[in-house]
Amino acid sequence: MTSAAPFNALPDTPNLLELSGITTAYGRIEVLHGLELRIGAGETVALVGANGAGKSTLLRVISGLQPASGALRFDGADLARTDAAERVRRGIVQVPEGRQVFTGLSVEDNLLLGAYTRRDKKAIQQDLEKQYQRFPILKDKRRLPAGTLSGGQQQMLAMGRALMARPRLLLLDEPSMGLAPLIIEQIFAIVGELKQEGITLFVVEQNAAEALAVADRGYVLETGSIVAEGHGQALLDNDSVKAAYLGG
Amino acid sequence: MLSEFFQFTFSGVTLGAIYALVALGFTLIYNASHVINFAQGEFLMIGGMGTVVLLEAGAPLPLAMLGALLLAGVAGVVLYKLAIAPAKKANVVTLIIITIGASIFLRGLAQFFWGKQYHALPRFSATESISVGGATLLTQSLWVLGIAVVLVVALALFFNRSRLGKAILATSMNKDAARLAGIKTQTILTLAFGISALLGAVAGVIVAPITFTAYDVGIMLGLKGFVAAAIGGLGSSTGAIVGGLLLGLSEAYTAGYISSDYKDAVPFVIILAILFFLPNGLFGSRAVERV
Repeated sequence: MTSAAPFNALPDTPNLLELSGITTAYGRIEVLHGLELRIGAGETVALVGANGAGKSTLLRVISGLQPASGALRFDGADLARTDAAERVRRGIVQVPEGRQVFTGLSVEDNLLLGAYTRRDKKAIQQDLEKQYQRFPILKDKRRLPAGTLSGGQQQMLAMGRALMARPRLLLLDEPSMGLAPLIIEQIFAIVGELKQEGITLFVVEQNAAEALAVADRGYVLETGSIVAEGHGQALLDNDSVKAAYLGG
Repeated sequence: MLSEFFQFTFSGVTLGAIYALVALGFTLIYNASHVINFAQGEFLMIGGMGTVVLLEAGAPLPLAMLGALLLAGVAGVVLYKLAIAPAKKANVVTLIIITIGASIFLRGLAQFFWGKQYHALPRFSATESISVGGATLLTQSLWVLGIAVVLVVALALFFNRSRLGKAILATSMNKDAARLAGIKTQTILTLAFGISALLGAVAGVIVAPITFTAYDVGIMLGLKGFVAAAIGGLGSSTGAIVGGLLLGLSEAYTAGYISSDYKDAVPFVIILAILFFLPNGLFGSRAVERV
């Protein structure tokens, strides 16, 4: 890790997620080089960085879609032998980049599949209602195929689907990607609500300004290594971060 | 004249229902894994031949059929576990070639253990045929149609109503997203191969009293089922059913009005025409490549 001492800030709460020495490769090309990262319970942490820095790869590693070496601990337990499905059951839930809704299934089926790892039917119904309250547009369109929704609505559906799993750690990959400014504002307002509700959030964004504004702490990822970390506002005010990621 | 037409239609619809079931098997595996499983025909053979062998061993017909279906289901799961799953990093063409290899292997096993003779299964009802509008309708045709309809309805309910059915659909639409929802996609694929094998085996059992069965019936029935699936547009279940019926009817009319010598050529003429003019089939998606 480069010396980022002025920004160095550790979570005030016990670690929920702890990564150390995370290295992964696509074929021969190493994309993450010994990453160290901590997310405290109840924190909102942002990860910003340019295209191709390895942000989505890191989320795939955390979700168990991409194998990696190094240690990954969630709520104190080592995840080395825990597959993707079991991680979801334990509460690590991702809203993937580009929404990735099940386009041919109805909106309601998409939401219900989010609760695939759960068996508590009654609570699932209640959570479904909760998502409909949070995203009223989804209730209006609940019988329609998810593929007919607009980009912003699909983003809401993807978030609703993830929330149906009752996440303890919600991973958001580029929630603002390809959306109109007004919709981006809505999405980040919802991210703010989730934060208020006490869900631990890990937001990965190219849109660094929005992400760092909502975050308690942030990390800057550059070509597979963390180059800076610190409190959200401190990173926002930092000149080099500004120059590199905030367009001056 | 009309009675002739009825006659050809009856046999066309019967054959069509069989092709539709085989095509549904192709569709299911294609959707779940993008693999075209050329061993699909062998599941029909295992269904028919397995029943014959169990009958000869003294089992009553229903039990023999059940045993054969079970055997085919196991064969489907084993095919996935031993041949497809270990090669999951291979590209789709390689996987398709693996299924061709598996079909030759299964056929060889059947020839070795069950012999090369042709067998007929007894029909399911005592009465052989009834007369409808001057044409003869085999009671076995009614069994074929009835069972095909029940299976199609059951499949539709399974995919539209059950959690597991929707998980299979979700996996076929977006595998990564399915894994992120906590769906074990390996299990889902195993299940798809098992269900698909069962479908094929049912088709093999119900058609065996009409067409005879032997260790190598899977080649032709499998290929025709594939043509039916391609006519409908690979990946569409409605397409598989329509494709199967279209194929069965055109075969029956060709055999009846032109010559039965050309019957087996029909599917291959049709598939050439489809590939030239409608490469996505009648109900296929227009997308060139699903991402």
